[in-house]
Amino acid sequence: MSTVDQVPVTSTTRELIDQARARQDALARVESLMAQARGTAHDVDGTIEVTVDARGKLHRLWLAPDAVNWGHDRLGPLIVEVSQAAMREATQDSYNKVALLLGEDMTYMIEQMSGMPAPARAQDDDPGMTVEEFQRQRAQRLGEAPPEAPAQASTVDDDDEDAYWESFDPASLRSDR
Amino acid sequence: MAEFDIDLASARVAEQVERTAREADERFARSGPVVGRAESGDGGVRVEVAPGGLLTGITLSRSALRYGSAALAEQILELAQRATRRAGDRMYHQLAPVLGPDDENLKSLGFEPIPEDDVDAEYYGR
Repeated sequence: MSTVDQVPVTSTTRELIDQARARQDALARVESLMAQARGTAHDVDGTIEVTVDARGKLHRLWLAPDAVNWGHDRLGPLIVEVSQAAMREATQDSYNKVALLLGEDMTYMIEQMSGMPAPARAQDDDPGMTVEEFQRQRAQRLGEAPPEAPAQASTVDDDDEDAYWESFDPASLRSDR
Repeated sequence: MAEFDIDLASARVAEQVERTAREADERFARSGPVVGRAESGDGGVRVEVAPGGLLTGITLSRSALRYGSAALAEQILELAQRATRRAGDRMYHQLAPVLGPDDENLKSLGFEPIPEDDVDAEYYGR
């Protein structure tokens, strides 16, 4: 648990009331934001994909044609497991939406009140993947040819940049000419 | 102008929240965790959800896989939705005595009673 910093209260009562009203208005919108939040997850083999909302309600279930090969005793528990991962995504999605509206401090307070911290704060949270890795996997999923290797692209950029700086005249920045 | 006493107001809210939570806790302690259940006509697909709708259990018979993935996914989705309504109905009946039958929170959480003549009602047609 993190400790709360002691900040001297300097606001007037009027300011406090205005703040409370602003928060009340914002909180009224939180509910509809949270209702819109969705999370999607799939198993490692890509045979099961599940979309749920932040309360866990199932909105979409897709099973690959070969998902039945898991067998009747494995498939059920696997779908349950993927649903739980999807709900963590949905929880994070709802906090992300709320944080945009209320700011980080208020969102943290809601997490404390709800007893459900944002999954991204967890010590063991997956740091995610790099953009390159995501695009590679996406291309693979969509059955596309992999995009040009980024290393190659950046070499071209480097050459262009070098050529630019070689011909660059610093004097061109002077404002008196 | 009457001074708005923030400490007093928040103490009142806190007391109310605590009392409601205690009453609700007592009810849940008696009833056990609330679960919504639904199963296919032949019992080959059984689905359990937590209040709110998160899947907590799916039991499939060997024959449930016979019609292929797409049909199975559709059936699980339908049963999950029915089970979610049933969990909401149970939550409503647990919490309405504590919060009042027309409480806005119950509704916004999706905890609503299922009419007796609704096809999703637990003992429909009995």
